[in-house]
Amino acid sequence: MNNKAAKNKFLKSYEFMLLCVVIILVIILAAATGGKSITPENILDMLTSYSAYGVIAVGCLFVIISGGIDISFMAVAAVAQYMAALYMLNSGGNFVMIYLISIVVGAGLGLINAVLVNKLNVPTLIITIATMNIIYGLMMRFTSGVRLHGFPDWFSQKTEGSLLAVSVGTLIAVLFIAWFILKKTKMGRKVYAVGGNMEAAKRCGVSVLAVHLFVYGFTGATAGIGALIKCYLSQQASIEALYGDEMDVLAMVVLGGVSLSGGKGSVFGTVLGILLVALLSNGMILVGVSSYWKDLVIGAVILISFCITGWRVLASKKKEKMGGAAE
Amino acid sequence: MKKVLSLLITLIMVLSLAACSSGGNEGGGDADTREEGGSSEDSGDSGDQYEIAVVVKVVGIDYFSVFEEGVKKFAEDHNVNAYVTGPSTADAAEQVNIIEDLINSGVDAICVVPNDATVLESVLQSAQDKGIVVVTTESPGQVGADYDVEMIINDAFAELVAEDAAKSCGGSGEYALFVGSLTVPLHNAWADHVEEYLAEKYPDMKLCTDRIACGEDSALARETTLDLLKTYDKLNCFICFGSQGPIGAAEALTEQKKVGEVTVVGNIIPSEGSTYLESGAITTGYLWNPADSGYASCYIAKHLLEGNEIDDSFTIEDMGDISLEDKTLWIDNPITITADNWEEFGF
Repeated sequence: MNNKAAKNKFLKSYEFMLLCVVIILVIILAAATGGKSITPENILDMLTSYSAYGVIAVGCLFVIISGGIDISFMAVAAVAQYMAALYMLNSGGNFVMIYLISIVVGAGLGLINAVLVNKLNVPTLIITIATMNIIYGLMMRFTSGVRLHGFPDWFSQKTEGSLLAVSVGTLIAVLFIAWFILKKTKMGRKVYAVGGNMEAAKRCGVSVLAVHLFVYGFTGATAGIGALIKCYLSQQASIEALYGDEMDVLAMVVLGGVSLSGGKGSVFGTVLGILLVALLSNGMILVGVSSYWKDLVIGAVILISFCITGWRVLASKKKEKMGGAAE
Repeated sequence: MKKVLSLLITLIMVLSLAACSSGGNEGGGDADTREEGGSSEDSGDSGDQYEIAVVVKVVGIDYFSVFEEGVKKFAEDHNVNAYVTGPSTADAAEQVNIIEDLINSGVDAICVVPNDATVLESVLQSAQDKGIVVVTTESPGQVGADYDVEMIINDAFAELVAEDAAKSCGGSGEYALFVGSLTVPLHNAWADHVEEYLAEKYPDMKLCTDRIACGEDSALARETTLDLLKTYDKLNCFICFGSQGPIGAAEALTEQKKVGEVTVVGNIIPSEGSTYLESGAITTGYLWNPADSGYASCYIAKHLLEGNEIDDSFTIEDMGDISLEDKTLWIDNPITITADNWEEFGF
């Protein structure tokens, strides 16, 4: 009985609608490209290319669930990428060390955001815009925008296996950790509680500072990991390659059904959001859409699919209400 | 406790901001160049030597170190006091400060590589008002400059790239075009001309799809290359404008083990493209030599200081054809970067 109710609830959820949109999109793209888009090779390529921003999107999900928003994550990512790259160029290193450096640098900068957000009581958008500019400005000053390249062999000689492990493997690991934290740990529940109603959470004895430290630290860490993946794929560390793509990542999270006012959102939804964005940009080239039309087509597809989704969710909610009243 | 903490944090932020701006001023008055400027003033007054200050986008990066070599070579060859200065970050406002200082110190000529053409307009005009010769580079049609000099002629440059690309892939098949963005005038002018040239000279080469905006992002260029290779079976040539395009395309080919089967040509910074040039993933790279830019800027400045006019017959020794278009001098002087010569350029 309980299982059936859960199933019913899922069928009416936003995530289910989104899943349908993604599946329909996959079918349309497969038909339009004569099956090219669903070859294992293309699917792997697509997942590899989008794993970097996917990992970063998972971090953003946490901040948005907690009721805030982070704009500074790409600047944080750039610093982490640069530090890891510098370390590799200067002392060789290995995968464990560069992952550690990216995570520590990212999380460290995230913690600064957390303290500011917690103590200053100003909209998080403003704080993170400020920290983004400060971090980016300092980076520009100290690096003059120079790109780093020529990494050691263990990093630059990619094999199919290492490519998959670093990109898709990391993405899956991060998704699992995120799902586990949100669903299975106390901290995860506290993140939802603070996002849903901060005052109520406080009165229940939740330490808002601890939650803020956790979510912004986590976002910073995922930003660092994502930046490292991007560095591995392009074999370059560059501050301008990340900066400016904030909207792409936030779009993945928001399309995934998170509520911008906090308290709502799921890892599964974000996975679908990542897939939707990845499918669309990958599909544009495979279908042969001219780059002059690309943005227009992507925008139109998103708009149409969400009109349908929104309408369906609304309709099912209405039904539920009426059904409840009749009982 | 909370109050103290928040106060502390605000203090740190304010201090770090202050550190930035004071750092900026130091950068503006670059200690060693100031000294040089001071000492040269004496010689300038005595009338032996012209003083030409060259303000680059940013000091301390390889590109402008090579640029500086060109300026130094000119100074030696022509017995003038020419030197390079510039901000420590690529910031137009700091360039304005530096140029103001230079105007006050009474230099004879200022050469500039602007970070932002519009921001520099008024300070360059005030330099002109003081009778200082102003020459810019990498900023065609700069307002406030006597002349601007460019190291390539767009059509000739596009033809050079297209011709080499066509030869390398045997003059048939399909090609893809990358640009930095669909609105960068320079890249799109090159791309237009490449399309025209190949359509006329190599009708067997077809453009596989409209030009794609991924030339400034190597990760995006990599992904686009992978997708294009899957979509177009006959695709055998990538022509990339924007310095990250060839890098991304080459990385994708390396992953796919297709190095050598597909031609990749386009703009590269020699050191950034070196490993791909040596593996053959990038066929050839094209750019201009920053040392030549530095040399040519000073050459034009001195030419003007001596009271000479610049007309269609104007030439600079060892450099290619020059075409004069309003106040912009286009010199046909590109460099072709290959596996054998990338080290020579030093940037």
